[in-house]
Amino acid sequence: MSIMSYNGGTVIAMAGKECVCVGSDLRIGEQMTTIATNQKKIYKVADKIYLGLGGFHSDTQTVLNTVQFRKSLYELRENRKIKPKVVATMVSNLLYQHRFGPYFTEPLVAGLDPITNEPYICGMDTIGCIAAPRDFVAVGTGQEYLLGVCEGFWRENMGPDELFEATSQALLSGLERD
Amino acid sequence: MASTLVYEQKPSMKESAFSFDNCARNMALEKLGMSGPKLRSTGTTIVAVTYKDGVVMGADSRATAGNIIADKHCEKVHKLTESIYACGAGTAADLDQVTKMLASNLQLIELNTERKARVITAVRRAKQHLFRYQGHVGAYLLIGGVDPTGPHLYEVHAHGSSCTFPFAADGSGSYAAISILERDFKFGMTQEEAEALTQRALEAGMHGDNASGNSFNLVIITKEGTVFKGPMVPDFCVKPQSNDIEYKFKPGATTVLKQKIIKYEVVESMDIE
Repeated sequence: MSIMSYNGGTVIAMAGKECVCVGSDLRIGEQMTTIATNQKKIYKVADKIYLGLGGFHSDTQTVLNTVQFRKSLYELRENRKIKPKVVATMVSNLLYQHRFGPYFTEPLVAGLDPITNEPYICGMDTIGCIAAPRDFVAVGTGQEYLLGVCEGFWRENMGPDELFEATSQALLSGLERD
Repeated sequence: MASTLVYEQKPSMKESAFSFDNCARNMALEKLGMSGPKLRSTGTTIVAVTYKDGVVMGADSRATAGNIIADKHCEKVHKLTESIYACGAGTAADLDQVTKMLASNLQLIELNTERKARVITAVRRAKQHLFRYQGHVGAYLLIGGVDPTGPHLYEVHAHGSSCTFPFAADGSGSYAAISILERDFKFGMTQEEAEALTQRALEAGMHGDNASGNSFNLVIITKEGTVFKGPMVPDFCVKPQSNDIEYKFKPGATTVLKQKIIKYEVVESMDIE
């Protein structure tokens, strides 16, 4: 049994033209038992920046609380809105600090730059290696299934409605197999 | 009877800056049979070649996590200074952090000494950091560049050993790449020959190794300046057939159960000069 699949959970994000779409499944379990079916895995960090956390649930809560706290401090000190790339670096550094005793969570940052509205998505492994492609990212137990489906559904410059359809259909198809 | 409470001052930020808080819990979990997560490694083919006037370095761009490709366009050629670059193989997060640390340290050295940093300085910093962690920081680096003493190339391994070479290859694809280099390398090559050799060695690695591929980046460092070329895609890495059918979903295809629309507060700010 892997610690990353103890609670289960998958998060996906896709980038379009001046928009991003983030989706997750709603199941939380304890190994084979399902405890609840309304647990979302995406959390708001800022107005236009969302953090998706797959993996071990208690570590996701710890990482989430630490990131929200640090983001508030940042905005107070710098007196400006935080950018998604900075959130990603913040999470990456937090995870790398625990390189030899890692948090068992795979985070995903998706958002728009607060001023230019440029989309930014990135996924990380459990020790904070950032991979920021321009198309889509997936993390969690269903990562492998989703990556294949997204390759087919994603196109350049999708608008918000198309992007929503593509992301949700990818999630629905991929999760049939997880 | 007064009982005294003794507070132990927890060192807030030790010099190492690694936090070992979770270690006890993680070891206990492992004893329970919970296997840990797979770390993202860069798989990789990295190649570097010195020639008459400088150094050519190149790396592929695939990052793997177990059997899947986690990143198709990962940057493995890291800039340390304008004329010193490092190519990395090993654990991806370790490489990113070690090269970021080396780059900041070198910049500080350049500012403090008012001289261009030397390749050997980067190598020594890297070695000393990696030896301290006895190989647990999985970073295998090829550090190359041109400094006031000429062009140099060093290979640094995760346990802290380093060696200097006229040409080197590292990573899982290095077996294929090094055979090309051994066969075709000669001293005193021109820039075009060195570039072509690096490209051939990279392509051999990307072809033969399943953990390397997608595209590659090259950097050519000379006394006059640095040229970064990439990403370049060799023929065998191009997607064989593009998607014939465009998946277009009708708006409304997905049933929406609940919808919540949050409008942002747009705050107008004025610059008061």
